[in-house]
Amino acid sequence: MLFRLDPNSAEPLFAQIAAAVRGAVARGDVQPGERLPGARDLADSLGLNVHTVLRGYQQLRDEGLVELRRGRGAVVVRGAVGDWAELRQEVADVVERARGLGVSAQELFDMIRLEYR
Amino acid sequence: MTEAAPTAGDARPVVRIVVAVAVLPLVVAAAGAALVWSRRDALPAEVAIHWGVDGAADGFASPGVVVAMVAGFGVVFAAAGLWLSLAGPADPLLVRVLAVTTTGVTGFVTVLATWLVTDQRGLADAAEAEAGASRFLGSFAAGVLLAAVAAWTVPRWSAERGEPAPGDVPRLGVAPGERVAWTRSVATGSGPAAVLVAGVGVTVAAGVLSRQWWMLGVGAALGVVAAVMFSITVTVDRHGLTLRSRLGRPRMHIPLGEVERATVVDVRPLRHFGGYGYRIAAFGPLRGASGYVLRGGSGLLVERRGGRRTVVVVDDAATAAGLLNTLAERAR
Repeated sequence: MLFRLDPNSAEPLFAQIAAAVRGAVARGDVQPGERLPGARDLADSLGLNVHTVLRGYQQLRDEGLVELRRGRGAVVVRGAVGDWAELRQEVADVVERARGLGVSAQELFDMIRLEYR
Repeated sequence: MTEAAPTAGDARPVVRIVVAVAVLPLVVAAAGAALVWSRRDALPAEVAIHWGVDGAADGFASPGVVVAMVAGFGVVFAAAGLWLSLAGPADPLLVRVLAVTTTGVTGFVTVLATWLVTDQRGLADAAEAEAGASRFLGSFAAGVLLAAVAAWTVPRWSAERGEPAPGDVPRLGVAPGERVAWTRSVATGSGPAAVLVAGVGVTVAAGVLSRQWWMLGVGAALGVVAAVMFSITVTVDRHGLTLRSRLGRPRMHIPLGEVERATVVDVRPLRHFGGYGYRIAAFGPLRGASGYVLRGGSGLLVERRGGRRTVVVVDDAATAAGLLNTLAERAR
C-alpha cells in the first residue's frame, strides 16, 4: 500500500491518508480482514502527528470501510469489498482468455463498452 | 562506451576458503580418529557409542568402526562444504556460514565421540560407560571455538557481481516535499504454514505419548518460531527498509544510507533457499542473499554497502524497489 501525501494540496493530510487506503482496498493491495499499518508506525514513516493518521482512519471507519478496535488497530471490514475481489478475479480470467485468443486490450475494452450499453 | 562493465570484485581467496570449509574439518576429524586409533589397545573390544535417554549405553561398536565413523563424518562435511562454496560464484556471507557449519559441526561431533570413547579405556564392560553432561557441554564449547576459528579464517572480500542494466533498477517519481511511504504485509504460504503447524502438533503429541516432557519445550519453541515467521510487515519510508514480525520482534532495519540499490527478483524458496523462513540462498542467482522467504514469487532484493544482499518476498516489490532507490539516491 503506497501512501503519497502532498502537504501543499488543498486536501487535508488526513483525507489524503483515507484516500490512499481506499485506493489500496479497491485495487486489492489490502484484503478484507487485513490490518492497516499501526497509526504510530505510519505517522513515523510519513513524519506526521499520530492524530492526523488516526483522523484519517476514523474517517474510514465512518465510511464503514474499516473497524477500529482497541489493541487490534484498524481492520478492513469483511464484506465491504467482498464483491470487488470476486470481480477482479473474473476480470483477470477474462483478460487471460482474451490473451489466449489474441484479442488486444483495445478490442477487449470495446467489447466491455458495448456490454454496458 | 555504453556497455556496462561488470564491477571488478576482488579475486576470491580460494586458499583460505578451502582451508575454512574443508581443511579445518578434515584436520579435526583426522586428529580425533588418530587419537582413538592410538588408544585402541586400551579400549574394550566393543565400545559404547550410543546412550539411551535413561543414560545407559545401548549401542556398541569396535574402535575401528568409531575411527571410520569420525573420519567419514569429516570427509562428508568437508566435501559438501567444498562443493557448496565453490560450485558457483563464491559469496562471502555464504562461505562464512558454510565454514562455521562444516568446521563447527565436525568439531563438535569429533570431540564428543573421541572424548566419550577414550573415557572407556580400561573398562572391562562397555555397558558401564557413561556419557556425562560435562562431555556434551565441553564438546559443544570446542565446536563453537572451532567454528569461530573457521569464521575468522574466511577473509572479507567483495564478491564478483555484474552491474545490472539501468532499466532493471526501478525508480518511483517523488515530488519535492511529497511524503511517501510504502507498506505491505506478507503471510506464509498455506503449504509451509501447514507443515509448521503439523510439526508443532507432531512434536507435542510425540512428547505426550512418549512421556518425554522436554519435547513439549521444543514444541513451544517451534510454536514461537511459527508465530514469528507467520506474517511480517515490510515498510519502505524516509528511514529506509524495515521488516517487522507480527509480534514486533525480531525487527530488521536497513537505513537509506546503506542501500546501494534495490531490484525485483524471482525467488524460488525450495530450489534456491532450501525452504521457507529466514534463509540464506545456497543456489541460483541469489546465492549468498539472506532474508525472509515466506513464500515464492517476486521479491525485493536490496544490495547493501559492503556487498551484503537482503531479500524479502513481497507483493508489489516493484513499487517498494522504486521507492527505496529514489529515497536512497535522495539521501546520498
